[in-house]
Amino acid sequence: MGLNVLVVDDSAVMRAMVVKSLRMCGVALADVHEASDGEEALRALDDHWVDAALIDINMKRMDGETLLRRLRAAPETQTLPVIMVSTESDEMRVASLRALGADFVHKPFSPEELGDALTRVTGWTA
Amino acid sequence: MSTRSDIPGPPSALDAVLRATAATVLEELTFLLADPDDGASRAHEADEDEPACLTSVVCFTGPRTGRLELVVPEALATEMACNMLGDDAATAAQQRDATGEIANIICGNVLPALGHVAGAYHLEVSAPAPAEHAFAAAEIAAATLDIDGARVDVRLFAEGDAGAVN
Repeated sequence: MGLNVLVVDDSAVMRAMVVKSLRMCGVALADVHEASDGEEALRALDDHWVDAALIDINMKRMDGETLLRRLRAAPETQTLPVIMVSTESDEMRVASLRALGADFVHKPFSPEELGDALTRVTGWTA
Repeated sequence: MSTRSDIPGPPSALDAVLRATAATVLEELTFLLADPDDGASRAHEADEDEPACLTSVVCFTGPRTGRLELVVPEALATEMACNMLGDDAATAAQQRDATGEIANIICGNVLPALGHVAGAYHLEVSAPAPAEHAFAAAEIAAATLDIDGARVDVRLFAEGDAGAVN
């Protein structure tokens, strides 16, 4: 059984890179869902069950931090494994995201960094 | 598309940070290596037959306000997008998306070098745009890279002084 994941990024190329990187580090993926902002992500989660979400921060309409707070406020997604994938360097902001139970991967990332983060949040192993 | 001017003056510490950051991001995202020599010398050679270019602009607000511009020849933008996607071809939209994301990541990684003010930056989604932008911000750093013989320009604009270099 592979993992169902949701990749949220306003760049379609970056979404493709995230999926490619997960596959490169040996993650068996089942269904891959994509969203270009937080609102799309919430709609995708209404329709699909996922094992983990990988979320960019800076996006139009609803950014990744707002999305994460919405996920944590909803009973059905409050424990969803989340990896924030971003260029964010402000330590306080990263700490606030971690306090909400999200892991963090800095862009640019290697496939291994993404795979390691997925292992941390889901317990998945190659 | 845009035209490019030569970058005057000797490189500053912030220029060096911008150049190193851009080279690292390009290498890690597109697997393309920047020539270790300063690309500015080759930039002069390209003046006579300047290729069509894509310009991506990332605006940022926060402790400082400004923008980062990335200018890439269209042929190289195609190669970058193909490498990022792992495909043999890339549409024009994918080229713009790829260069915009590269600009975004360079910007996000270089902003800490402005230092001395704590707080989070907000980066506006990048878009292809003319080099001239609506708000007033002075150029505080510039770098020219040579990627596979093609010239890539990165410029950082911000209000206020050049700031600290971490």
